[in-house]
Amino acid sequence: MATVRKLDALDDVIHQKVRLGVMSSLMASGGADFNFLKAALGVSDGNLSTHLTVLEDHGYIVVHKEFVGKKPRTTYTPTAAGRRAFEAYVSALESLVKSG
Amino acid sequence: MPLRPLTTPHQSCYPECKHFARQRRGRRSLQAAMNRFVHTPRNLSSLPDPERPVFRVVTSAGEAEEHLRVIRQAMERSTKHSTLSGLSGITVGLIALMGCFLTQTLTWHTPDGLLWKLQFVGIWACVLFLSLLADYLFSKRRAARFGKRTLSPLGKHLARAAAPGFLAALTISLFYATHSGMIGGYLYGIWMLCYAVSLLGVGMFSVREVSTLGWAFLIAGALTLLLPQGWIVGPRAMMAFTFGGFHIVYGAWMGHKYGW
Repeated sequence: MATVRKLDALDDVIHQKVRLGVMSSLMASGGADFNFLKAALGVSDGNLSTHLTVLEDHGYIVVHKEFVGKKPRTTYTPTAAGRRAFEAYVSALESLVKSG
Repeated sequence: MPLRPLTTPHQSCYPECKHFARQRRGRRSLQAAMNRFVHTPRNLSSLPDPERPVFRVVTSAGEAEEHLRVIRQAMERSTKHSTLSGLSGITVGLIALMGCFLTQTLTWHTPDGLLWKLQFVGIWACVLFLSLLADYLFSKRRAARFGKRTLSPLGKHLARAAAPGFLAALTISLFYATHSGMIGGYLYGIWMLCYAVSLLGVGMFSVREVSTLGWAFLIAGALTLLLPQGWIVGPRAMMAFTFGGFHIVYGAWMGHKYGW
């Protein structure tokens, strides 16, 4: 049974599984389009879209829309603030695991 | 006229004063509760400050581990959709076979000497350049299909991981150009080992097949160096078998499994 040991404040924008997955994926790949994220995370269009909007509203990712041939393509890239927030989040989790 | 006793209102006998005192005590306990409420990180989000980040509490190491697992999984999935292309592997294999053929032709037609060495180095420098170019172009094509960039942080990691092996091979090749008698035919085996080091480095950030190819090159390099030269096949034939054959098999497998 997991014991309550410590109250650690974590960024709630990232502290959600889909948003955490999106940020991890973007941090690993440097940037990706909607279809790639959908395939990598295995989530629905609507769900992913909602979480991407939250991340965009908080300035953690930047959206780039373009046309490839006649098809629109939306690419997402993590911002400097997003990178900092993600690194701080991972550090906080690691310290919690070490202390636990 | 009798003097009124010096008491506080709630101590007095007036019922309405007792009621006010109860209200005051209630307000004090409510204030204390609110102070505790505000100082808890969980509730910082309720403060009306738009600049303040929103926080949530992770209460257990188990929950933190679960989130780290999500991060690791998402990152692995992102790198699994690799930009390494099957066509790239096959093209690199064909270029290497062409290099082996040209080297063999060179050996037949050019006497051993400075000219032979220069042509040998020139052929393999061209093979390396064309292979890297083909790999870059095919990776770029595949990355564009997935909405990724070739020179992404992951791409830079891969380049950094591959660099030590390539630099070692370059140094040994330069040494060979000046002291060819000291290395001789062992150069091919050393190239295989250096390339294996690069592949195993890249394999740490990429799909399992890259590491498998690295181990195959490592074994082939060790066999080329340790077995007597020309025992079953000569080092040049091993070069064609590994840099040509291995890459073609690898490319076909990657194309079949991950797409071309």
